[in-house]
Amino acid sequence: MHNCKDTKERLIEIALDEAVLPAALSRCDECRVEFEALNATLRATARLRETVVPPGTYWSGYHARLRQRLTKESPAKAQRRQEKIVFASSFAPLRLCGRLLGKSLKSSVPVPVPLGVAILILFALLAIRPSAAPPQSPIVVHVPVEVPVVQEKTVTQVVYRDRRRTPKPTKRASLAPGPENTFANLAGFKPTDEVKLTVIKGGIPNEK
Amino acid sequence: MSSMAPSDDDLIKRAQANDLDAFCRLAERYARRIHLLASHYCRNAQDAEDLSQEVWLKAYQAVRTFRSDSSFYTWLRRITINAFLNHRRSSFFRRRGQTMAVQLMPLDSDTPEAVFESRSDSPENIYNKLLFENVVSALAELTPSQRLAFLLRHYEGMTYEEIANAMNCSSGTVKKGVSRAIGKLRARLSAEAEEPEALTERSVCNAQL
Repeated sequence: MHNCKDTKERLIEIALDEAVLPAALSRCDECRVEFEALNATLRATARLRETVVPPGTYWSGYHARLRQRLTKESPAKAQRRQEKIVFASSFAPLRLCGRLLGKSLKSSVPVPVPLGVAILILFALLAIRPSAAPPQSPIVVHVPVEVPVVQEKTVTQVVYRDRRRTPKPTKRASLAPGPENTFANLAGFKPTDEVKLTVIKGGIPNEK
Repeated sequence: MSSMAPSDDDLIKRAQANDLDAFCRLAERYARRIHLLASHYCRNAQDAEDLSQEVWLKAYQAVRTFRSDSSFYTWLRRITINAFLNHRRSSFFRRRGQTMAVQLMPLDSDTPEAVFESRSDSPENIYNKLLFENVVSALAELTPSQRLAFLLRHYEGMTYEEIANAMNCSSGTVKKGVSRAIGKLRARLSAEAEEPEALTERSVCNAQL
């Protein structure tokens, strides 16, 4: 059964090849309309190939500019530069290798062998380089940060001390429950002469 | 005395022997085709000129390697494709808000902006300019690969396999790119293609404003 979606790709191909729509497809209205639209699009763009041409005056300027650029870059010059780059890159490790081994480049060793050795050395050097580099310690910067104090609060604590010399209660005695161990019973205690002040910074403003 | 133009082969041999004049003669023969591709590929006329000249520069540097296995144009087209693909990776084409390749400017100048071979603002000329703007604008919505695939298939008549080889991708990718390009163009141009007179009238009015 004919499926318009499946034939869409085929329609593009037929239109690109400037071929005629097959009879089987031309019977389908949807395909025929699609094909005509594609054809019209491609014809319009193809027409630009002939019409979109810069004027003659443009071309004279274009070629003058091109000649100017080409004069700077002759093929011989470009080739020499290329050869120089290739030579330098391929023989630099070899020269180094030769110096290390006390041998000259003019030896009768075939070129691929030292070249291979040089490449291996180059890879080895590249592999070693990161580990040989001294590890960089992170730079620590100390920046003093001022924390704003919301409110200063003065707390006065009254400490009561028993002035009577009483024997220190033993552990067992202190664990034993009794009325003398409760805070409510402060008989015989007097306030100390010293007042200990503790300033707490950054307290909650509404704290009481 | 012979008035016959030298053949491509003669010019190539001379160019290979560092004859700049011979190479420039070759450039004169093929520059329009390369420039046409570049002007569809780029979004502004200056970029198109830069890119097409870069192709010639690369060709000049490599002319000694040409071995006549294929035609000079086939070899040149290969260089063109590579230059286009390399250019797309550069920041050259990442600029935003560029002007279109065709601008309604004085057409008798020798600047890259003057793209059309006409000095009159005839309705047909204006229609062509707007059509070209629409085409370039529609192509600009595609990826550079899709755009290049469409140009090579439609303007150069290359097969999908040839394009795939040249662009180093699968022929399925090329096919999809071409299909997408045509779909975009169709959506953009269908109204104008059906009613060129209406578009021309509208464009003349715009040009006069």
